[in-house]
Amino acid sequence: MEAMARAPTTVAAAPDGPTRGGDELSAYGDLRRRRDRRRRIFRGAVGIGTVLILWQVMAVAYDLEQILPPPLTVARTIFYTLSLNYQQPWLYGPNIYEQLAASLTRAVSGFVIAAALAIPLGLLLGRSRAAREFIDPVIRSLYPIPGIAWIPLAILWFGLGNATVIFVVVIAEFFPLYFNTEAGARNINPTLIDAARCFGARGFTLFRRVILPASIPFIIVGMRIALGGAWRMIVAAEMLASEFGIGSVLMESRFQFRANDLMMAMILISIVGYVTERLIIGTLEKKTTERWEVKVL
Amino acid sequence: MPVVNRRQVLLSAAGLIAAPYVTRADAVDTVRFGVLYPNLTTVIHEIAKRTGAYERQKLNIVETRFKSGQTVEGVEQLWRGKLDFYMGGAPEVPRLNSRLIESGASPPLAVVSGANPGHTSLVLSNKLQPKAIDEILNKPLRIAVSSLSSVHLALFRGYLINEKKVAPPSIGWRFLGIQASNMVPALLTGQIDGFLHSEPTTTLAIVNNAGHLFMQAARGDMGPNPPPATLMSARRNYIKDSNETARRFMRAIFDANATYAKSPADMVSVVAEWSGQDTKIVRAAQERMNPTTSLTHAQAQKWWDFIGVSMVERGELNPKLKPFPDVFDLSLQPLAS
Repeated sequence: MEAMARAPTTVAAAPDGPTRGGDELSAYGDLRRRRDRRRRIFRGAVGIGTVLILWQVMAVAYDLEQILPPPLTVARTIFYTLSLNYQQPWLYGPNIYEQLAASLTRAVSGFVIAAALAIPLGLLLGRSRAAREFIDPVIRSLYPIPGIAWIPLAILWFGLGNATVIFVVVIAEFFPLYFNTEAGARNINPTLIDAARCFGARGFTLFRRVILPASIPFIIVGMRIALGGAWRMIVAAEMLASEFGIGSVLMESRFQFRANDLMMAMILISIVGYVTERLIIGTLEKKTTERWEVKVL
Repeated sequence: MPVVNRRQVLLSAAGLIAAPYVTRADAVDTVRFGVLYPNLTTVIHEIAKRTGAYERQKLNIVETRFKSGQTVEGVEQLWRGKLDFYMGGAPEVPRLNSRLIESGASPPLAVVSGANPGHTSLVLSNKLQPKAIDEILNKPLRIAVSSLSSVHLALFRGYLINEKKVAPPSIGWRFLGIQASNMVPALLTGQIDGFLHSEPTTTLAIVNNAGHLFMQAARGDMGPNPPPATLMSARRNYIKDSNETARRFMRAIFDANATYAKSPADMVSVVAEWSGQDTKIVRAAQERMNPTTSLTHAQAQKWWDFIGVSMVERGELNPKLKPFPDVFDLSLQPLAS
């Protein structure tokens, strides 16, 4: 049954039993993967290095210290801030670890709540035309409202603080998760469903063995987009409705004309966002790939 | 053949020499002015417009409006040379000059005038009815400010340091940075215990019975002769290069000051329109505001002693920054001219 779900997305499995030709192929594959990885890392490093060198040269040559601090200065600011050995007074309340932890907690909480709501709903509406016809117009009519537009209402409903920020993150993350899941569930090849039914799969078995595995590539893409969006929304919401968090640091550093701190906050958001994405989505992707042998888009 | 005599030659030459000056006498100079809008504190500009004060000084004002609470944007635009004058909040100009001094450059901006002395109020929730501030200084109150860099918070810190001889970090209050428009609803719903802000937030809180006015800098509750809360700033190179235009601009503002001072009650509709507030609110707020714009050396020094020093103490300003000449330039004030 699982093979059926895999059909459109899996690579043909190697013939059973170890053979010499198989070993050679596998060794060649490993070598190629290593080489590809090295090439990817090298090219990535060259790309990032070029941007950093251009940035440094421009900032120094045009004396842009106040509007575009050179990367070395920003790197020093990041180092001193992370080591809590401030070179200039820290004006943003709790230290950077507490600020990042607050933002991360909000982002992850929002993500988990949004996933818990959007994925089941997307699967349901993707497979049930009647449910889709009732509920989908409501969701589509809410979709164009930007997440940030919910902030004033959220403040009225939940007050200032975590709940407001998390609510806004949930709203922003819900839509990419829902639309991707719904598209994944709706676009499953009908032949797979028919074949599964022929083998007696019904109800939860059909869902677990066919619908969920076939939708996983779409869900993972939705999660990836949603988590990136979560960080964007966290910063916007914290600027308006929270006394601390990395968004507040960003806003306050602007008020203080401290471009170094502003860029430090931006880079830390980028690093934490990237690491979170790798840890959460990467792990989910690996688990689902291993379990169902589906290839994520 | 026509003969050109000596008299005609001399007249023609004199005409040619005088022409640019004659043209310039009729020319209108353009001043790019950034103001907070809608806002009660910058209404003097609207009065100058409506009373023809700019026209009388042969000035064409190109107005750029900045949303209230976005003072930093106006100061950035002034610094980047997109504006000649800016009127709005206060502490951003010394902050920017401080950053430039730290990087070895000279301060690019100057505070040239000020308005609304003591335009800071401490509004407390109706549940809190202390007789004196000492009763509540050690309580864990949640006091809202528009940002941790707010001028009202800086003034309050200055008051604690100068008048109460108390170190600001030693009090029990927690300051929460929230937008001014959220302060009254937050006070009504018990999410905060009070706020430090100006008009119309204070009047809105009182009128809506969300809180009561506990301290008001303008009536001397935070020390005598409170400093201005709204500052007008200009680029130093503009003051130098277009000094005559800058002076005419300030003269237009002083004319508007006189118009407002003559009869503040007649200005209610102008203030209401400019600030987007109901006339009832404006009338109630007027007793706590004074938008006339001027600055004496003593007021500037007071601003520094209260607000500047507390900003230095907090680490917002570099101790190398001096009020004169790094922050203030009063050469455009009437006595100076």
